Amino acid sequence: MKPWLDDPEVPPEMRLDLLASRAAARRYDVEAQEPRLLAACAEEAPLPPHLDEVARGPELLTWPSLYGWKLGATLLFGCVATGLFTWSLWPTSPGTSSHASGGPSQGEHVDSAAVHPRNAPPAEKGAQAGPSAFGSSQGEGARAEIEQMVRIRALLATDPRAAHTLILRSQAQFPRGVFVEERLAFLVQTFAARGQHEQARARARAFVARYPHSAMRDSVESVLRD
Amino acid sequence: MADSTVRSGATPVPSVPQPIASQPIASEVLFRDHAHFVVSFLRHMGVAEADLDDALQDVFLVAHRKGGYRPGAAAPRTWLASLSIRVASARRRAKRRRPVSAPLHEGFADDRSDPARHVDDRQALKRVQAALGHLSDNHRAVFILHEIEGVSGHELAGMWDVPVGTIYTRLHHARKRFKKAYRAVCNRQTLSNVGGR
Repeated sequence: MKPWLDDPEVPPEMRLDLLASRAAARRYDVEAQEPRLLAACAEEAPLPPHLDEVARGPELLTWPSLYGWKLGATLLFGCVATGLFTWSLWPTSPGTSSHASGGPSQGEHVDSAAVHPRNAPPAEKGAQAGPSAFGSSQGEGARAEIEQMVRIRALLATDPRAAHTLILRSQAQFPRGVFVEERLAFLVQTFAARGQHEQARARARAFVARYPHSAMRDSVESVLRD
Repeated sequence: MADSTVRSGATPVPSVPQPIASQPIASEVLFRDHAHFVVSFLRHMGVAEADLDDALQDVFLVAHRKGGYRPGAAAPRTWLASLSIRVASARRRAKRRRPVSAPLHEGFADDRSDPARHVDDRQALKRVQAALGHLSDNHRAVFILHEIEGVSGHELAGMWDVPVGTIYTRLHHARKRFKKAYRAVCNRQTLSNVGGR
């Protein structure tokens, strides 16, 4: 590469300044400093700490010696960040695959909002519950939850007390299941059917506040109107 | 006192690579041959005038403790430059712990034959120092050694133990940054001159 000062594109004032700067920087009375250096060399006194570090440093000024600590810090940070990222992904990785296969697990209780829209009609849930959708052990839990919901729905008209008990049991078993919203709506209906109107109204108000856009809102609000 | 100064413009930037010495060189000999180079390099690296005497002593004292220059990949001049970079950096760190308020004196040797030129050269040095202050230490060192001191790319490659291409890449970036910084410094100076009138 040619010296920059020979490049015609370098502005003339910059070229002149660089030349003048070189001349000015060399103006120094070297001879006045020589005796001091000779005395210091002859004295063989221990070097100050900051110079001792320089004297013990590598012979060549290599890039690794300049960038060593930065490179080390970057690698360390990278390892820690990668570890944290992997660690944070690991517990959700099986869940991600369960999303792909279409259902949550019983043990993990994947958030229903992530798996299934809260206000989706029941027909869609039935469609998801097919054997092809739940092939793994994670699907077993969802299948059990669906079966319980079918039983609850059947019992609502015939035996509200049994339906109520089954809802509470199902809620305890699947606290973060897919059908939390439906169970809470059915619970309102069972309270009303059993004559516990205060409880029903309180539950209904809580339901409407929690799920304002629910497809079951009308049936729940009918309890408030009664 | 002998005037050991270099007249501005009298010494063009050398472009011929310096031959690498084949024999060990004692620190006293290094001092006589290269003290001006080291002073110039330290000044451009941003060592304050108040610290210049001590920094120069430090460089050659370290060279003495290392047993003087021994033939290797780097030439004597670039070897001293590598020591100077570390000394300047160490002094900067030490200064951060014990800040010095203002320079006690300036170590410029008098040039009685042409005082006007002396003043102009010092102004130029200040502008160049200000622009160099915007470069990182490594870009700054490559730029000073190649563009101001005329050290060849091959010598710099030996000093840093890297391919010549790497040096030229650094130099390319250093030139761009210096040019931009120099313009900014000149613009600021022009504005302050206009404002001062």
